[in-house]
Amino acid sequence: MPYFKDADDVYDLLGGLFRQGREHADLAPKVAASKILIQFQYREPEAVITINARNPQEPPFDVILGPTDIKPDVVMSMKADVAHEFWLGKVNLLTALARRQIVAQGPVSVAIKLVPVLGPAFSLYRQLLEQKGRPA
Amino acid sequence: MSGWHGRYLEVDLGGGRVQARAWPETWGEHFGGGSGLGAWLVWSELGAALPHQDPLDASSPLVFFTGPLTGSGLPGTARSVVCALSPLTGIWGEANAGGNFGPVLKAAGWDGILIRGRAARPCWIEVGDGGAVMHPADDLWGRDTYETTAVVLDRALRGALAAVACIGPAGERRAPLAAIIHNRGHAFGRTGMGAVMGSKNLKAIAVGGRTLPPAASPALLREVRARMLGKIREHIVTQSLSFAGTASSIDLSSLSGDLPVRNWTRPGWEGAEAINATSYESILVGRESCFACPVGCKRRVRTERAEGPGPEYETLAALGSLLEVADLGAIAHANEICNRAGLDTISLGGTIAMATELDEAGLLPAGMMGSLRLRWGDAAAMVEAVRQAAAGEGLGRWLAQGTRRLAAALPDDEAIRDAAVHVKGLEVPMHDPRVNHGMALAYATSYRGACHVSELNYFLEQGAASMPVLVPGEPLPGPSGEGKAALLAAAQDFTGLACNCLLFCYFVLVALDETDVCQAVEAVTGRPATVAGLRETGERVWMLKRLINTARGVTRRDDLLPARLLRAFDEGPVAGSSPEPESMLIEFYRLRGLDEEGRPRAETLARLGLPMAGAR
Repeated sequence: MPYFKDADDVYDLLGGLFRQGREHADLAPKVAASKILIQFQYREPEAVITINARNPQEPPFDVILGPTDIKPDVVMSMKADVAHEFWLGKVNLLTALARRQIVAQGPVSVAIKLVPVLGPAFSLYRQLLEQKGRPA
Repeated sequence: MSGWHGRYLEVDLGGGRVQARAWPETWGEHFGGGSGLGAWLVWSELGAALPHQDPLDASSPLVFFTGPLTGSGLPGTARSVVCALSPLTGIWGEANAGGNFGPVLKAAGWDGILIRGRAARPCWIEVGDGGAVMHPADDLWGRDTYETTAVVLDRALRGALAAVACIGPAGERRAPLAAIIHNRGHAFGRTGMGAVMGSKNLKAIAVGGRTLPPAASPALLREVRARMLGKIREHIVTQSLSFAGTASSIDLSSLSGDLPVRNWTRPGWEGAEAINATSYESILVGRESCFACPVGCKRRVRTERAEGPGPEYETLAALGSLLEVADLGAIAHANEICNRAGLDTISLGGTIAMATELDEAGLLPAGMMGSLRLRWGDAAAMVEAVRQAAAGEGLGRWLAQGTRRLAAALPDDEAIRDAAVHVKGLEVPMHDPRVNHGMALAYATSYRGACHVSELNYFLEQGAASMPVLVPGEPLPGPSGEGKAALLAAAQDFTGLACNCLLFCYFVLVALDETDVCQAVEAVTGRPATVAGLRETGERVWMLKRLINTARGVTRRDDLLPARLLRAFDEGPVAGSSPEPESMLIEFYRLRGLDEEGRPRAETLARLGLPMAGAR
């Protein structure tokens, strides 16, 4: 059974994670400094989240929920359930990319530069689930 | 005999004799090439003397060998290997390196070189298609590897494609951590092969030539090459290596708990970002490739105190995170000191970490330390410790001998024994087995001591590499011992053969599978190659090295991991994870056909066509 009920549920939790990241003392400046423009495309259910740290309207970075005309540098595609497991720290990024559970389109440099922000984001996601009374 | 010349050079440094030796095609079938042939030559050369042979005695052989694919132009086949009894561990020793030494040695018309004896005076050898010539090296003795390489390249084989492998002052002093350095940035790093070369008064080997043996099937070779290149372009590991070099692993290792910190006692370290791929850009000036490699994972750096080949992942961790040194400039400097002196950065980093822990605890005698004070995170002290090891001064004299000898020189104390993190005398490389428990078994049972590149277990276990015939299905959970003995045995056989005998680059192999390897062998040698056949060859080679180690006294009590690596952390990415190598070891011995003491059973040796222990 999929973890997320529908796209709104994805936006609430995964979108919520990125939005809370904007306030995070450690995470926010690192994402801003990366100047990254990355889009996450989810399946089952379908949803799209874009992070714009290149030229944000609301620094440190914009979190855009749903389709957008902005052209990302890199697109990461995966099942929404894989994303959930990933942000819980249960998915090895290298393995997921090698086995194409997560498919990256665009320069691998972007994915590499994002890795240092993952540690704090894992903790943030667990806190978010707890706040919303959702199981891990 | 496609892929080979069918001959190697035999150099007797004591008598000043050089002879061409033909070797039979059956050796290639039985031992694959590379360190498989090296092991057979060392075994045969030493005969009954093997159990008690001093690795640094003049009569101990030193073997350089290529693989059948070396020089074929296939991606990831630039490597060559050096083999001998190890002066660091006392057991089987081997180290392989990329660059172009292997392809050029083969282009000189030779598959390998066997060196025995000791020259009366320092010498270097010039190898071409006519054989080898010995030259005096009195004026090179004492020079570092960068200077030596430049001088020898200038003198040798003028006008011909040439490559040099040489030792620095550490090898001349026969320091057990001494490496052989090829063209400045490629290290035959582990197990003290530089000390063996130094014990022979052999400063350098220069090779040059232009005659590579033709492949049996050029059409199949082109097809295999094209497919390999496609896979290498697509695979995340080779993409990352291409983009950011091996430093690209720092963040992922830190995230997973793989990166060792403070002599393996901490589950994480905030300083990792100071030595990661992004930080590396601040010292980066260029990238380099080995012969015919599309990946190009090598990096050139420039800092105030270093210019040339940059530190790689293992060095960044060994001289960085392991010591909590968050100073990339200092690590680059220390790396260059090691390269110039010819020292293994992994083992030296491990030994400095041990010394730092003991010095912090007041367990190192003042007479040993001199004025040096080692503290966690002290970059200047780390560089000074490396400098002393390179110069053979002060504490450095001990550091260049490794953790086991340093511990043996100190009072018998539990804290001292615990801080010496090695297996069979070889310092543990920079991947924490608490993340993937199969690595605990891999370290415990590798024929050269704690080693992460004896086979591809590291990438296979986490599922980043795929060998669908040998390892079908989904990756096994990392922090568990279940199924890991079978995985490791398969990895040791097939990927061990691929990495150490066929001499595929470890990183390129990550992107390939069994079919690629088999077809590469067929294309070059013309011999049909099956997964089962190559696996059996790999098993034979592993068992031969085990046989050598058994003759050197290795038993089950040596197939152990340092207690420190079996203690679970309370926090961090692998909190609560503790490998249980004993249960894995029992299953491993059964699968391998070893007895309860870890010795090859007679029926196992007979099945593999190997000689009985003690019979030659």
